[in-house]
Amino acid sequence: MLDEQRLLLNEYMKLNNRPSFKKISEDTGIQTTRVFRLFNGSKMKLCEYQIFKNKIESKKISGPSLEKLAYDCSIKLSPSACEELSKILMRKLEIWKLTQTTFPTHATNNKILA
Amino acid sequence: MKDGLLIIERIVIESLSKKERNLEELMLDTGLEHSLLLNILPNLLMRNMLAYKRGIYSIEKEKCFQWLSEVNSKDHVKEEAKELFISLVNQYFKKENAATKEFEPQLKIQKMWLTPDEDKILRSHMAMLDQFFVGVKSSRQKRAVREKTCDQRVVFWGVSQYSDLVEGGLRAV
Repeated sequence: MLDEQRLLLNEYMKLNNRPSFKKISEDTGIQTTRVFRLFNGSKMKLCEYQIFKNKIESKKISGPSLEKLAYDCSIKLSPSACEELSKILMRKLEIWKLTQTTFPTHATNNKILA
Repeated sequence: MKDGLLIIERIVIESLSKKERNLEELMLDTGLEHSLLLNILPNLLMRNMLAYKRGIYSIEKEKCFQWLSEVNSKDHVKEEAKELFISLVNQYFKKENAATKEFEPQLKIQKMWLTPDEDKILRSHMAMLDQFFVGVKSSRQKRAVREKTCDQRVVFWGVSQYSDLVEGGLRAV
């Protein structure tokens, strides 16, 4: 499965408390068998990608979008305030990176555990 | 993190500063998941903070003076304190699992006018609390209790003037 697709589906599942394939189908309008295939590595079509993306966006953002907020902050706030915000974002991103499960190959796995 | 540490990295360093450990022991002592540790440890190894030999991780003692002062610099400790405090606030105000948690987080914020005498009493209470923690820490050094690093309690306390905090909030924009 493409990394981006996996991240998108993981995010959707997380935001919706891990719904069943049937629930996902009802929510997105994509057939249950197709949903099953998507979660099992079948490549997503652009329209399916957009459906999931929109569902995530609408669930996540109740106020202005993060991009707009970040832009407003960058032009309105002082350099020190911007630095403070970017430090918070950077730390959150760093934690996110570390929590992403990497799937090491057998060789690298052995290297780490040896 | 570039030069400072994240809480999840700090707990690994703290765990290994007590004793060198293998992955399994680190999992038990820090309460972190196997996959997360497998992402954290190579990072710390690359930053020359840890050493790794035959499955055992330890603090890189020869190079620790180089990075210790850097990770404990004022700016980095400030970011870590914020991360811890935000985490406590989030945990305290989290609605779900409130009753099921074994250890209930506590957070108290009080605003009040104090007379100079009351202020002295407050300062003395805080000094006593400080003394209590110093005592606990020194008794742990004499008689080590084999407890997990992740089971430690994290306590915050502090006092400031309302106007200073408000001004600080204003200055932060």
